Amino acid sequence: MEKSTEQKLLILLAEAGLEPREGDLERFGKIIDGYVATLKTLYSIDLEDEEIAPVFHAEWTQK
Amino acid sequence: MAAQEKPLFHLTINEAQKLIRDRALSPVELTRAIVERIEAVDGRLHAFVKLMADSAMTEARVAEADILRGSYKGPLHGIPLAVKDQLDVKGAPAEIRKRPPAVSEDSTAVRKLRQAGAVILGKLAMSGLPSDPPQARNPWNTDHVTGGSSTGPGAAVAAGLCLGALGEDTAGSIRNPASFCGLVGLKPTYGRVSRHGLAPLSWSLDHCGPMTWVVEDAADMLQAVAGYDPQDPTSSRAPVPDYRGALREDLRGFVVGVPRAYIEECRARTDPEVLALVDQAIRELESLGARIEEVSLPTLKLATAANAVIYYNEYFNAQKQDLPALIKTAATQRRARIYLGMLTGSADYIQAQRIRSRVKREFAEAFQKIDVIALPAQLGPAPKVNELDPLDTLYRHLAPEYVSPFNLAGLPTVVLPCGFSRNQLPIALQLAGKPFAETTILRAAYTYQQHAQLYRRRPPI
Repeated sequence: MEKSTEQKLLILLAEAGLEPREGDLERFGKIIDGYVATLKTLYSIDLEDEEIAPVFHAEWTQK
Repeated sequence: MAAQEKPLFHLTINEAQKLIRDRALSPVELTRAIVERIEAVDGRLHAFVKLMADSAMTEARVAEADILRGSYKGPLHGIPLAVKDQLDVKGAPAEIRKRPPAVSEDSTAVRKLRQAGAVILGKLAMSGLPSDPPQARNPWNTDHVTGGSSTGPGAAVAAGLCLGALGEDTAGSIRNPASFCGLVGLKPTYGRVSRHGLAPLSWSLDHCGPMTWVVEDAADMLQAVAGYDPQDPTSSRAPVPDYRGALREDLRGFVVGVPRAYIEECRARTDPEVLALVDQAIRELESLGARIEEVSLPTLKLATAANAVIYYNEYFNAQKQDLPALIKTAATQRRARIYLGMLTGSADYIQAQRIRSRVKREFAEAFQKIDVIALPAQLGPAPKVNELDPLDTLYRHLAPEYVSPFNLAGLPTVVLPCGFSRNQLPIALQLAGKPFAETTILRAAYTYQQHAQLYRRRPPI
């Protein structure tokens, strides 16, 4: 796992009063790095003025 | 004994309901046959985590007495069904919630099944249960997985251990096992079926829906469980149409949109057999009267990632009270989801929701010109059990795939078999519609089903 990601995760866990299960950081290093890379792809698009409120209306796109 | 040729455990709901209504088959006889089937083969399939044979037989006797009195409730009366562990069933443990020995109330969907006269056989396995039960096996070949997370429903319906099941779908969890096991799997529109009494994975992505052998059965089960529920804050008040009545073998005037660019985006990770069989199915839809059009959905390539980000962050927050225990004891995939959700910042979550708005907008524009979208459901046939890594599902969610974009958009989506791989495992066609257009996708699926007749082939178990 990327060192910066590991440090961030440990801080977040500590803030929540938690410790990772033994071996988890090694075991999940690859998926966590893949996920962090995926998070960055979310910003590859210009969403202009798109907002979030419509997603909470089930009927929003019903004709 | 009922006057039909095949064993009772291979009856569809549609076939059994006619026999029950005509008093040619007793719900008690049917339920007993299904329980015997479970006892005979579930030791190899591991579909059930809680078989409620005694209460099911009692319910069957009540159904029989009602029907003999002339009080027939409808197509699910006396039909033995089962439920994914994630949905609460009164008197049964809710293992995913760690609520043994039993919960005291049915989930709304289960309550509605009971009101329709269904016999509840018990609870079915799912991925990530705390007790880590044996991996459910695919009845088409028990060396292979069922797909998840509705693992038990996939195995149980395919093997005739129930006539239909309720599953739950957050990122394909109804449609993956339905595809791998040769079933019809229906994820309704978000808000169509109540989530009350469902252990949450992701509040805004969770959908309850039926898994059945044929389209008619999915329509009947949806009819029973659909509708407004004041106990679910996202439940829709949209009217519930007659799903069964909408089933006609007719695609004349239908426009089927095919997202070719998106399928290209997924092509490198998709087994060529899947692409060939789905292409063939789309050509068959055309031969049945539909017009095929390419549909452009430019933001769809980010939909799988946005779905994963929302899923894991909502999952992490939904489990917050139990985190100390979960970090120590939860199954591998659940622990990984907690870490991923924890690493998701508020900016990431909001960006994912904005992508969701954009994706929904693009779908809405597309559905002004088309009736259904047709595309694959799976990247390949069911993998072997011994080749499965618990983190495979999470890796699959990091790059574009075919099912989770419809959780993100909340659109109704159905899968049904469109062929078999070289190693005789089912491959599915996926059809999606605009919000609350379950009648449209069911009609398209029914027409294809009646043409392809793949439901006639049963697993060898």
